Amino acid sequence: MKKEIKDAFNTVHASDALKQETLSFITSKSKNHSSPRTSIRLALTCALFLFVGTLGYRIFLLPVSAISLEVNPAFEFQVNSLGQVISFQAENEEAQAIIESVSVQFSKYSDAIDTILTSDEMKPYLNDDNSVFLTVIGENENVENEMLTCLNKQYDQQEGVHCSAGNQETAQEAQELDLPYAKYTLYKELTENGISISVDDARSMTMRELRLALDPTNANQGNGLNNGSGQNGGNGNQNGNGPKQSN
Amino acid sequence: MRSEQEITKAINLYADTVRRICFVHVKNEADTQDVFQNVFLKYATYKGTFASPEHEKAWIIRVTVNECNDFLKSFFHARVVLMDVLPESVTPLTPRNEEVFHAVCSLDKKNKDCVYLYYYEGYSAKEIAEVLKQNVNTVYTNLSRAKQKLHLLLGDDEDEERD
Repeated sequence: MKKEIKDAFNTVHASDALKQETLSFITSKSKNHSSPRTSIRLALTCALFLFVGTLGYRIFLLPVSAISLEVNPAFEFQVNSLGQVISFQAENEEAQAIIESVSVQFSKYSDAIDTILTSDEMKPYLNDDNSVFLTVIGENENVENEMLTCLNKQYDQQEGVHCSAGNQETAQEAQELDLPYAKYTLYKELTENGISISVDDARSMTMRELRLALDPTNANQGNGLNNGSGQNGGNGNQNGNGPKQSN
Repeated sequence: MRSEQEITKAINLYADTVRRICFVHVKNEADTQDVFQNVFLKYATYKGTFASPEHEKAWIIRVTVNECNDFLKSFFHARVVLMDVLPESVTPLTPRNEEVFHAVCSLDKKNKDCVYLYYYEGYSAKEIAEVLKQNVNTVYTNLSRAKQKLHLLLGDDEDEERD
């Protein structure tokens, strides 16, 4: 029986055609083949890149807060979650000339503000007539408080620098009218007090002029940055609640 | 994936073995071709290494048996009744060859593999147990039953070698 079974199976062979077709089949598979493990690795790698890219974007490039810096030149900075300036814009022509001369991108916001305020181009604007208004608009209260604390501490010794927190809604309104934040709040206050003023007028006026328009008796006290304050702050020459009195 | 050279060498070495195992399980040429290609595709994509040529051959045999079993369990095959005909072979079969094949094909599928490996490839029961990952006593039992049935069908004298 053994011999008969051997003889029977000896008649069975794989044909050359079958072998060749099999080789072609396997070769074609190898060209298109991406093993499941490779596909999984590739998918995981792509997912990792996407995650890192998204995370990186959220950390480095997504603005989480904004700071409005208004003197007369007015600037707006967008700040990321690391406190770095990721973009900044000039809100008026005077500011445009200044931002072209400074480099503050990815600087810490406090350093960026300092760089601008101490730049040569800014000096002509930092006189006794002008105060510096810093408005912080953060994505949440904690971020805002932290930034305000930092800025208040930085300019604690300098009169004429006013730091305050803003809100998103007002910032949106200011943006719609193309006014810097602090200027917009003064404009809004003026209109709410029945003082007729156009947006264009507000845009062209300095912060001091707007404050004077709001309250002629409460001129700003100088900015302190040039150590020349005091002329408007209580020397008696211009203070007083009523019409000017000749002394 | 293994190189084309390796794959070609394996096909040349084991094509007949694979074909013969398919012969007793699969009824038609198209299905045989599918099983045949799948076996060598698995070989081509197998990432392990073989300790020896014998190890490699045993692996090929086991994969072929498994592929045949998978095919027989497949949805299509379970629901399509095929004529009980022998697949084509390259060499024309004698009447006795056909009789032998019919006898072998009539065995249970687990016995067919044991018969082929024992009578044609010359494996011992212990070696068959290792190749098919079965208990050696199970192999002895299967071989014993297969022999009895084959004697009945083929009417041979009991002159085969015993392990």
